[in-house]
Amino acid sequence: MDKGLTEEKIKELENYEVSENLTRREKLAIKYAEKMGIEHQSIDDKFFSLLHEEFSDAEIVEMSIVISVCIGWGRLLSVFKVEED
Amino acid sequence: MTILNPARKEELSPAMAEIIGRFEGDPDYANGLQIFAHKQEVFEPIWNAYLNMLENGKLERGLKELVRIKIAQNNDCSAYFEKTSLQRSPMRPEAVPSLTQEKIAATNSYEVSDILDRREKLALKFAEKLGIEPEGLDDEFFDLLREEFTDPEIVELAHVIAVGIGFERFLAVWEPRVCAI
Repeated sequence: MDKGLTEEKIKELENYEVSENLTRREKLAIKYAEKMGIEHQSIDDKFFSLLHEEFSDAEIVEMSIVISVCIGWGRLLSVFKVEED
Repeated sequence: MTILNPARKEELSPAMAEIIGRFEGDPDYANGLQIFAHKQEVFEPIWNAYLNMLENGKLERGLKELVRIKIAQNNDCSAYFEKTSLQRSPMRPEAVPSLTQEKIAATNSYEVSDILDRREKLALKFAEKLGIEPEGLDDEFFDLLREEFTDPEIVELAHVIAVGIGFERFLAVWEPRVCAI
């Protein structure tokens, strides 16, 4: 497991906004993924200003590519029921 | 407005410069791709795989383009995309003779279209459902798909849709004038 990722942190994903174990940087990254997956139209300048307080442009792009792959292929895997095999 | 700054031109790898160069007549779109260039070492292979899926494979090119258009529509980009989709496609318009402006216009209300055939309608439905309500893709729908597509074709179609859904919403957020990958 990569450094920094613990079972405790994974368990707190569901209520990440009130977690005491996740950092502000982690919470913003999760928020970004959540918004992109569910309500990307709601992402505005204000949210990007918050992101920029913790991430560089290059880091945001890297994170975005990871999120986009998860959104696209993640849905596909769930539809193809890969998890059941 | 661009939320993220594009990578500087002098930072572009030759491969990334070539990707962006295909859209030199479309500066908004090129600008969107140049944002991805901040992680060009990751983006290049993904883009090339995507392009390979679009230009090769078993499915008709025009069908894959229709699917891309549907994904853009469902992300509130339809007005812009309908006008420019042929020019914006990474595939050259002349390579997609089956894709007409009439078909593009028909994607809005594809279910009742007299222009689109059943195969095209099912592909559009697949794209729409995966983007909006993937839980609605049940065995019954896949049975319908199999009446028109082989399993390898469904997988190819699914990959085109998945990449489109994943990436184009980032461009829609970063650069609203771009909207679709």
